[in-house]
Amino acid sequence: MLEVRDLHVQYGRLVALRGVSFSIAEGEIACIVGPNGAGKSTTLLTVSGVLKPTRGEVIYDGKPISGLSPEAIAGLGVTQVPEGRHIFTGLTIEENLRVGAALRRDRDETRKDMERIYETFPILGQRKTQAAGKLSGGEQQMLAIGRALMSRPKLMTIDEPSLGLAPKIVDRVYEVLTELRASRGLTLLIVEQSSERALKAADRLHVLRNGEMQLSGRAADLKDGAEVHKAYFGFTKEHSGEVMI
Amino acid sequence: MEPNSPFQRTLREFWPLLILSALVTAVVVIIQAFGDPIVSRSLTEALIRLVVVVALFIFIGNSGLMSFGHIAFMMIGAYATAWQTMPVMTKGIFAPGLPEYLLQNSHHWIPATLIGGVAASVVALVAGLALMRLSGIAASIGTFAFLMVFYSFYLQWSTWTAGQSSLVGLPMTTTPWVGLVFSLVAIAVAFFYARSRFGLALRASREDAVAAQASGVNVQVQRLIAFVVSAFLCGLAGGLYGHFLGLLTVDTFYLPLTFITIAMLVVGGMNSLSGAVVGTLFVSFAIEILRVLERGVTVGVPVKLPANSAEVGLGIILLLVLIFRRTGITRNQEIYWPWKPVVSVSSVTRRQS
Repeated sequence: MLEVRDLHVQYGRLVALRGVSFSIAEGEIACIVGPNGAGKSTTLLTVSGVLKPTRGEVIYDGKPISGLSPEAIAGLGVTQVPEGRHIFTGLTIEENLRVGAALRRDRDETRKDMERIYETFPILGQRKTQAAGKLSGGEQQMLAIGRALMSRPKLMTIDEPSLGLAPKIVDRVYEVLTELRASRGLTLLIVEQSSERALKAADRLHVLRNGEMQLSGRAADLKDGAEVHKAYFGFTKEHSGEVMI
Repeated sequence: MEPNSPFQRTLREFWPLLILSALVTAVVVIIQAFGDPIVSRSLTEALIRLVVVVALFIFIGNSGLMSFGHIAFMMIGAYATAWQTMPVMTKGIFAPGLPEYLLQNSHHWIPATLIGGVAASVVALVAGLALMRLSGIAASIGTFAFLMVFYSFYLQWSTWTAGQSSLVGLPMTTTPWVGLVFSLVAIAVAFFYARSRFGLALRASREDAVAAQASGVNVQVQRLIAFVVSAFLCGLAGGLYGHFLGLLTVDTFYLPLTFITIAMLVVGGMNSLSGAVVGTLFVSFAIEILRVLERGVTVGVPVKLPANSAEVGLGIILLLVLIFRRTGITRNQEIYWPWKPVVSVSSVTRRQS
């Protein structure tokens, strides 16, 4: 469904990605893990068209999309849940969801989708006329996901859904994401710092460090964690090994 | 009244529009009932400014970008209208450069004012293509430069605008009632715009431009739409202003008017339509009181403020608002349905973290 080929991205003279390649099959949950500054967010921003690659391309449904504007890419069914959620705090919850449907013209269907999101996240339905800024962190993350769903994405990219949330809430977020894959056939590309959580949630794992892909593989094959650890940190786990990030 | 009945829901939805329209209408009716011609003139001027401030709200309030250039749209509208409505006799003397058709004909003020609005919005469309690419303070400075350019241009364009002198002899058709009608139209336009998907998309970009783009909002296009709509209303207000004063001078449309209209919006609350309306009424009223005191009144003892107290007073009001209530009199909120909310949230809400 999505193929990233030899992606090079620079911020001015600072090189963020040097030749990153990976692909995602339809209906898959793919996680990109890696330490700070590895280029995880850069990868997502390039997929959604906010950043332009200096070399390489992003191919979605067989067509190159790396030259398109963010709005155009969103129109093709690739929606991003940005890092730090970026909900519209001054707008009401309902307005946040309406903005998510900014590209749609089918009013009745949009209405139905909104009701469906209120069913998935009852808390949003109960408080739909309140300012979104009044929601708790976990609720805001649910709203950000709900807003992304309003565009009826085929591929949803999520940047650090666990950022600043209590572990229990993070569990709930991943539960919701797994449910969404099952109920809507959604393909998910998730950026995550914790390789442990990524191994639990993902079908396929990609480890990124220093702008280069260190390791890609099926999560099931990487379960014991040693390879991931080496790819993540650049050295093998010499001590007992019960601690993993 | 049955809670949650369709009628009540509709009423709640349109509440800010209804209450603001009623407020403005009530003010006009009450003041007109006294029939004082001087006060009635101040009222008309306040109503024209209300149209401008509501127009400013449409752009500034929804986009979050400050504009210092909207008075130029008022000027463009004012002159475009005057070129149509001035008596044929005076046109030849004051604006001999006008095209033959305009020199030979004089039109009714209503279609002329509408055309003035269109002229302002066409200029906004062209200028906006460039200006709306800017963000933050750069955009504000850009709009300010735009005002300066048009001010200088009109000042030098003497065969059309009479330059340093004035266009005179405009029919004085703008009564308080005309001002009221246009104010109500402006309020309705602002209300329905803010609710529309265009208004919503623009407000989303104000809150968070990156996230709005990620949702498929083209921020530049949305800003441009608001810019053009607000320029149209400013153009109408300009047309009304010419037919209120009876003469047009380029100097009328520069910094003092820019400052007072922005002050009205800031005092009321920049991000709400209620703020635009309440701010205009409040500031106009305060200035009027100060003007009366400048002329001198006797309340037991004679009170007389020095000249220009109104300007100083406006500055003080603005400072006080910025210090103590930065979100304006309305705290950037619309006037909400005053009765109990229909959905109770406290008991069913389960905080998740």
